[in-house]
Amino acid sequence: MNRAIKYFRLQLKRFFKLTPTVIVLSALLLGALGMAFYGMFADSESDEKNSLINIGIVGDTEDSYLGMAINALQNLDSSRFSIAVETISDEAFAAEKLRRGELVAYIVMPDNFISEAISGNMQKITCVTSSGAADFGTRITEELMKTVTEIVANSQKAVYGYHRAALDNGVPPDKAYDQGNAVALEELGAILNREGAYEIVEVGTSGADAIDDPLICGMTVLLLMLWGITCCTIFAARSTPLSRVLFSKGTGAVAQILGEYAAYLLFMTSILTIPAVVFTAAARFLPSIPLLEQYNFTRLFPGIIIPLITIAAMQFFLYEAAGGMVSGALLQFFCAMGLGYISGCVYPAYFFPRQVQDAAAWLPAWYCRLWLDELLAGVPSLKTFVILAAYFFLFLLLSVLIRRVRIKREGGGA
Amino acid sequence: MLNGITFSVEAGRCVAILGKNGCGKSTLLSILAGVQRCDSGELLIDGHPLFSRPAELRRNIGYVPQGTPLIEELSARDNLLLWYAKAEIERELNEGVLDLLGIGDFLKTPVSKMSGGMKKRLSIGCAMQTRPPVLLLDEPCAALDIECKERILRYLSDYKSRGGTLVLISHDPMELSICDEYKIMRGGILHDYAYDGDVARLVQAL
Repeated sequence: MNRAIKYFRLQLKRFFKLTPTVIVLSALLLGALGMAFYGMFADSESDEKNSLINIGIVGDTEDSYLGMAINALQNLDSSRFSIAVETISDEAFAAEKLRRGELVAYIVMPDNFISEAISGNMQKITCVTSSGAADFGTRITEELMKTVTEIVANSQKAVYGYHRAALDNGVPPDKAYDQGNAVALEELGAILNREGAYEIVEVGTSGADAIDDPLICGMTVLLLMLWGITCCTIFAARSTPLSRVLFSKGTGAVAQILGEYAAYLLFMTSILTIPAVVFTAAARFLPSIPLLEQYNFTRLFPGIIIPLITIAAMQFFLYEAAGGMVSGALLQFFCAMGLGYISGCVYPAYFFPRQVQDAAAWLPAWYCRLWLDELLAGVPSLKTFVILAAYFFLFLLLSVLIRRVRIKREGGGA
Repeated sequence: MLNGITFSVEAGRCVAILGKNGCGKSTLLSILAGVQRCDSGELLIDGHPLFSRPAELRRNIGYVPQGTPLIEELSARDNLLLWYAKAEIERELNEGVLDLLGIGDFLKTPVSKMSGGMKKRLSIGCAMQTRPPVLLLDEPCAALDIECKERILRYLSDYKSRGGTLVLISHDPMELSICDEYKIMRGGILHDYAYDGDVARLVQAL
């Protein structure tokens, strides 16, 4: 039998001997990740105040325009990053809240701001922030002030316009003024009430099962990448002297890498079969569990194989590059977290600046996640497949080059 | 690193390559084993050039590098299966090289649980699959106890007495005792040395 095939078979046997270790490490990894993400999401869901942009308004907020505008802002949708406007009577108290970090900024409204504005006398609104830096909160506050100013200016135009038209048509001045105000208030109410201003219509994609949350794809890719850490014991025991002897007997670096990689991939796939069977069976027999009902695991698990091939090649390359067990495990961890984070496996990619998104679109983790997204939407693309295949070949090629260098350079040291 | 090295060894003899750390001894062995290439030169066995004929080189040269050229998690039998056919193992265990090395005593033991001596005997056993006329060994008895060394050296002496040729890198007086010729590598060149058992003089010569 060809020695490369023998080598593959022995590597496979070696990997399966380490199955209990890998399963225990995988369970520990899952537990740790589960706790970390539970903590992360439980915090954000249970304590919505943490994710609000808190802005204080100090001064004359009794005016009907401003009061309604503030009320409208507070009743905007309850997304994770909505704005909370707090009316505060005393500026010193607002300054203290800003210092304690309970507010990102506060706005000082001059006395009689609206009535003065209606009379054509615009007073300046002051915004106080904790720093002059253009952070997220400051930008939001600036945006809010621009919006308020625009609303007031446009309302002014409407009030003056109606007032003039009413007077021209013989309406008594005091009545014309009240009617103008009423029309403006009604219009503002309609504009500012954002909850009633839109409607989301969900449609299925290509008749396939729609996936509500791409997070499951990102988490799957992140987990697959982190899973490489559990195999550190497998790669720690690799023998460079054996590689040298194999090389001297005609089994070169390519055959060695292919044999080891194929065994690693087969091993990973076999281990993955355990959760695949459990989840698929649970989805069949316990369909009432929300998670199982929501995601199509019978499609997800077979689809994982394609990104798994690329991720396994990446892990293989990282272990080959690192050499040692500890350095290999650390490299796996940092690469998995770094790539996963940037590629939108933890938070959606659009949370990041455009430059980061552009850079992420070159990364293998991005395409692994994209493949699963597309697969669950029922539209896997050839382009994504080709890019994943290119990464697979690239990682194996790099592994072969490193192995060749190691075989040639690592002398006896004597 | 190496410069114009030429030496010959007769069949049934053992040559020891001596030298300071990093002087190129292991590189020389790697080149002879076909792991590394030399810029120019040739390896001849019975006058036949081997560098240009890889299959011949593989069959005629056995190579035991430093360290453990074995798969740690697997048993001795599994490791032998990488080099031997199943039937070959049985045959060699009964009356062949594996019997001489005493590998039958720990055939089912995982390499990770073997002593250094067992690992070295198994490594030599793997290298002997093609019954090569030339065996290259890089410090075969390093870090072994006296009993293990004695067993391995007894086998190597036996191999020599059957006409095998040994090229040995060594710092160990016990290993040197089975050698017939001694060469010191200095400045990338091999120099003949007459070793008489005086280690102090050898250290000075290095």
